[in-house]
Parts: sequence; structure tokens; C-alpha cells
Amino acid sequence: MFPRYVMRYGSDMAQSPATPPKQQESATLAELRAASRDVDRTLIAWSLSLSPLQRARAATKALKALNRYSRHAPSRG
Amino acid sequence: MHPREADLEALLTALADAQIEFIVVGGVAAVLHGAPTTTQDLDIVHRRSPENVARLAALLARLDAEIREPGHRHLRPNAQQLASVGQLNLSTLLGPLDPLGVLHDGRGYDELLGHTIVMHDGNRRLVVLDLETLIEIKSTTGRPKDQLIVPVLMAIQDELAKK
Repeated sequence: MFPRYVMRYGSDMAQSPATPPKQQESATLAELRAASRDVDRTLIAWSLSLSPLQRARAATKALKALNRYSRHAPSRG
Repeated sequence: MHPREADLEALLTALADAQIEFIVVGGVAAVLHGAPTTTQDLDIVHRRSPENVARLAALLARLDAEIREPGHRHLRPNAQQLASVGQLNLSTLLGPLDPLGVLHDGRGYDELLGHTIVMHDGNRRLVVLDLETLIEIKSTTGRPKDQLIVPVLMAIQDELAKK
């Protein structure tokens, strides 16, 4: 249900075909708690080993890489 | 031209070094708690006292801040706007920065301060919305992108509880 890789926090997540908006909107806290058990902890453990500003730096680097990729991705249609 | 991605470390450092009283909220709060996510901009709730607004306005001027709006009219934020309860979406030399007078539920700096934790990094001090409040807010906005981050935040809670 939830991606096991670095999640992108942005509007494109909401448009993921794997998670229809209606389904997400109806998620209860219990469902979200259940989903948290499926979240891979490897990246979380790595992130928790960093200092707060190092986490901020890592997020910026990841976003820049993702944006570079999306600019070079072939268009659909 | 301003970058479209926020340099989060640089923005947080600039705000902290300018002695601005602010609370990190939104996606960056999730990142600072350890969520391996990305976010385009930095959302903060700042104290709307005249002194703090003046410090924030001075920093924004140094960062060449402009209001992000479709017309690209290069509008500058002013102290009056920063002292209001509204939200400003700004473009700066360090990327997008969104100072909020209050959150969507009406809580401002003073109301939120009791729901924060202080993170220290070197000699810098960052006040960040605590995990419980972040989960509460993200799970009740009704926005799919907010709900997607909640299981990750809950997983972080689990991991921290194990330590």
C-alpha cells in the first residue's frame, strides 16, 4: 500500500495510480497504524543516525536528484 | 533566478542564525524527525511579535524573497503581511519558504509551542512540531499527500520507542 523506497512528499504522490485518492481519504488512524507496520525501517534507521541538519541536507539532495530525473524522463502519450 | 527546490539546511541555518523565533511544521518537520522523504519547500510558523517580524522581514530582504504567484510580478513580502494570520508562499535565493501566521486549524506560534521539541545541531537550536502533533495534523487534513506520510511517522515513533 505504501512505497518502500524514499517517498516523495508532494502532489505527485497523491496522483499515484496505486493509491486512489478516495481510498486514502477514507483511511482511519487504525488503518494508518496498520500501514505503518509495512513501512521498511532500513531508511528510517539510517535517517535517525543522522543529525537534524544532515537529514535536511539529505532530503534536499534527494529532491534535486528526483527533479533531475523527472526533467529527463521521456514524456508519455 | 531563485531555485525551485529549497536548500533546507541553508534555510534552517539562516533562520536560526538570524535569531528568528519559528516552529518547523509540515514536510520538513517530518524530515527532521527522521522521515526519509523529500519536500519542495520549508513551512514555518513564526512568532508574530513586532521584533520577530522585523528580524524575519530583514532576513527575507537579504534572501531576495518574492511572493510566489502566477503573475511573477516580483512582489516583496512586507512586515504587515508577516504579522497577519495568513500564509505567504515565498521564493528566495535559498528556494521556497512559506511563513505561516497560523496553521489551518488556527493555531499560531504561541499555541503550538507546547507541542514542539527542540533539536540541537552543533550550536544551532531548531524548534520542531512534535511527532504526536504532526501525526494528528497530517491525519486530519484530509489531503492524500498528508495521509501518506502518517504511517512513516508512526514507524519512526515505533523505532524511537525501541531505543
